[in-house]
Amino acid sequence: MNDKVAIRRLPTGVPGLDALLGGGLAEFSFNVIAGAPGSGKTTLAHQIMFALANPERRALFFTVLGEPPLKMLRYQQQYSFFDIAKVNDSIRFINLADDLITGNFERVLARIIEEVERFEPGLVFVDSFRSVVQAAQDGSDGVPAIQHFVQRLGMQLTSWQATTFLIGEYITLETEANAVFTVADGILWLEQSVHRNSMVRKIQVTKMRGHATIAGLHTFRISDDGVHVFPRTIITGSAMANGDTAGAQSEAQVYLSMGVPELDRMMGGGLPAGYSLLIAGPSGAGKSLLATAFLAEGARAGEKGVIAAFEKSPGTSRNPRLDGLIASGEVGVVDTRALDLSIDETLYTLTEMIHRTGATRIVIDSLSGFELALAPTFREDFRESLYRMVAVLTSMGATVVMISELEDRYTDLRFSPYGAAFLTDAIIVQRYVELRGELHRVMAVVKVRNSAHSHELRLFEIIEAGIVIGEPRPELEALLTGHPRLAASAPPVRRAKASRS
Amino acid sequence: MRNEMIQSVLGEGAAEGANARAVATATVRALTLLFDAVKPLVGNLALRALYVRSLHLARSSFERPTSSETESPDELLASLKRDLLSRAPAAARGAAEALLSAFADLLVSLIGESLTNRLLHSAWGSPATDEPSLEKLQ
Repeated sequence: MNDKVAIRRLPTGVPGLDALLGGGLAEFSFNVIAGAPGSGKTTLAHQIMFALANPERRALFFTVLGEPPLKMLRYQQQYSFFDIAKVNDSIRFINLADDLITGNFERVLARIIEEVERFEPGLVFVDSFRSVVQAAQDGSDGVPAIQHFVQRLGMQLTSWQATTFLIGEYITLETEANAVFTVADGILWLEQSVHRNSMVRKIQVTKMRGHATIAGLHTFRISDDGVHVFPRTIITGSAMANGDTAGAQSEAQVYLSMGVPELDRMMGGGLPAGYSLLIAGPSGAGKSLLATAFLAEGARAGEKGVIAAFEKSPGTSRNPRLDGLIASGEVGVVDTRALDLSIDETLYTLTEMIHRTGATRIVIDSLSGFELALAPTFREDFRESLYRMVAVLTSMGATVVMISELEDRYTDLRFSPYGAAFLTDAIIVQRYVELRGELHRVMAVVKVRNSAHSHELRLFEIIEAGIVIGEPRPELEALLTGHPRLAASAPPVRRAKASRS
Repeated sequence: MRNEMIQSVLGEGAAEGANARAVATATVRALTLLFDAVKPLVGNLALRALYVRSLHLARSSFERPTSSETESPDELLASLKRDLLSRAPAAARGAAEALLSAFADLLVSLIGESLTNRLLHSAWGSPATDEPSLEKLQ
């Protein structure tokens, strides 16, 4: 018989935070929410309080010094989670400024206990707890007294079966903070950093007694709905194994049509499901059109798709075919905000849409647009993040097509400025060549792991119906130099003729 | 609705024809109940600032208060009572209504109608009953 105490986890009501906390906050725990001014501490506390408070689990929110209560109520009401119906019955706000001014933190502690005994809350918040601490320092009570105060407060509130949150302004870990943090069961550390013209908010579970959490810094955003945490996605062992999808190829490998039959043949039957494909080429070569054909073919086969379109603003026309797929709901669009995204937020949005719609075909258009949309601080780790994203998406069973825009260079053959080629299972390259005074497009399948694919460079054209790949032209030589030449006995150059479209 | 609540809380004791003492007593009682509801939420200093601002907003009925910053809400209310007692009953009633309306409107402008109405209800009870609720927002 297992008679160990079972610690109940309380769901915080903050999207993403429960994942970070390993399922939620421990009931009756004594927590500190710490961070610099403006980092979102009070908003996070309010969001948790409004999510958890009800007539059976009531909440007391003590305000001390710092943000005037009237202002706090005025501004916090703007968030959608602020449910006025809960105020008074389930949530009570009490200001302790007078107690602190007229007495000391002993008086504050006595008042807190008095109110707790009277209201019997299941949740207690003290904002800003630091005010009490600073008042104590002014009275030369010093760190030991603060630790003593926190210990008594924690003991009292835990005995009264209250899950407690002390909200404090800390920019760095100071001696005094250490004294307080030692007593706490859980510490949520919030920070914000401004880099160039973007601001990034991050949260860290510095400590959480009794259960495992996801370590490290995780980005979060504050919108009209409050705080939304985007837990840093960790690649699990299985995801890593699946990330090397080619290694896991079996006889039952399913091939997905790219929507251009002749290209499917060149790839050895299509793009293996769960693979990642890089389409590289210069501007206007037809990369986005090929990705659209991939999504349209999925829709035709009843497979949903998602496109993260970083090249265009949401709502602006991409191309009529893609617009139609989006309008019909067969392809979902991930809205992108320029300059302050994190990889984790993007990945969260993608995975959420994949879970919601059951999408299996994912397009990222394009890597350069994606990099630009990220906050500068995340661009430094772009390659590593890209690896993580591809591994996570493919481990979910999705097939990922990424577009990489490259200038045509006729002295070397490159596929991505991010070194993304080795991350992907397959590569298609598109280029411009000049033949007798005309620009022509060529396409080749560079790589499809564990698949017998064509190595031909094929001329192709873009017509209204889509991409048309021409017949093999073995008589054309030196295509990659940009200046192909015909073998002496070759017939006149002709444009690509539709073999399939 | 706030006007109804104000009329209700001032009640018959401050009805037309009543003497200035009845008006002053009802007004001070209404403000005491409201202060009891608001004070735990915002503290003494903010409560005092709200009250003085209300007097200023109702300045057509009141002269600028001469009280010092250290004056407590109780002292402010005593001062108000003296002011109302010095007036004719109708003028006292008009001034009391103007002051309570200004206080309520000020709260609305700061924390919104819904929260303000909750505060007023917790202080004065619903307009349907003249019995003020002892339950406070604190």
